[in-house]
Amino acid sequence: MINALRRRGLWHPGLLLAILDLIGLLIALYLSVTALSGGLPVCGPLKGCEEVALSEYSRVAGIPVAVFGVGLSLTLLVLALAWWRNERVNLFRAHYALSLAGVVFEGYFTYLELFVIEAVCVWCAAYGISLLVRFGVAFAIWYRRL
Amino acid sequence: MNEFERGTRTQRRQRQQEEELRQAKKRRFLLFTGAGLLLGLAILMVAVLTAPRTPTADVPPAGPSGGSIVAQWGVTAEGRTLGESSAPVTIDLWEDFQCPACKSWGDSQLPAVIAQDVASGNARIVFNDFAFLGPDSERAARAAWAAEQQGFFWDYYATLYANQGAENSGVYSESRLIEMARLTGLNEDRFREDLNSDAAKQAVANSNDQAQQTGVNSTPTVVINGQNLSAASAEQIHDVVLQLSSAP
Repeated sequence: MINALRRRGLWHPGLLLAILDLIGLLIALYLSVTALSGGLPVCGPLKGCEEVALSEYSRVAGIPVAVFGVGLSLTLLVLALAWWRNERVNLFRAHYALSLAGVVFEGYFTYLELFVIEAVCVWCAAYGISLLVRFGVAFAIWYRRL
Repeated sequence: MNEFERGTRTQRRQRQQEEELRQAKKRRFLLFTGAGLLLGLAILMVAVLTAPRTPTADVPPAGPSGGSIVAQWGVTAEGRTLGESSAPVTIDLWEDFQCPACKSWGDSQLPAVIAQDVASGNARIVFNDFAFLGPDSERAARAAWAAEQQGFFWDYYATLYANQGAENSGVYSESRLIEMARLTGLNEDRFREDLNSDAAKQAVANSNDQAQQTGVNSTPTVVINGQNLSAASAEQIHDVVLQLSSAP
């Protein structure tokens, strides 16, 4: 698919970042809507989502942490799309710095899940993986361009 | 050295300089990324260390707000059971008064379960102790048993959760539990006597044993007619209750 886009001159790494940002945004949106409507995320046979969602760490100043995830993913998505459209390198740098900050916070939340709450929420893990992949891709793009 | 050799050497030097420049850029990029990671971690550590602490035993206990919680829920209560004893479905709650997730579950899910399933007469809720987090848990469970003897289980339940604090910090010390009882409107002398009675200790020990026999290993756990639903949401509970109460 990437090759097909390349042939048509449509391929841009910003597009890959935007797709990953969109995946993260959808996960964070699901978790936010669930938390704001007073429900709990559904994990099917996997356990842990309820424990994490009910823990005191699921909110900061009364706001569900997933809402911050929506804010972060939305900002990243806008930056990736803007970089794709106008090639300004500072937009990519801002994306890189923000996804780096996201990785740091995700590391902290993973620590809380594993060692404090002692439960893992698959939705949160999926969001964390999407952040890690986004950062990894952005890192590779930047490194290859040097 | 002829012109050609001089040109080749200049080109080689130029390429070498470009390569050195690229390597320097890569080193700077890795350095900035590492520094960014370290800075983020440092900010996080400062935020964690300076975050306000959970209330401890230093803060005086608070009483119930807005009168009887059972009256606010608009259902009947008998001991530690909420709702009609004739209800076809029994929702067993297994909780530890020290568990933050139990408090959060009680704040976010319990009112909806009461409104959807208990008020309709389809289900009744029975509270069970699984006091496993430490001495404060065991004392709080005994205190709730003592409140139950005076018919104030659910009001005292609300007071206990309103005063939840750091784990095993003495937030549920005997003197504080007695103060909470007084604020909830219980007879202090009788409460003190019941709190330290063998019957209270036995009731909590029996409940903990039963939790393990039932397969409960975390809190909160919701068990509906014997079916373990872990920390289910009000919606999940509603679906199961509807299914069970409409079954022939």
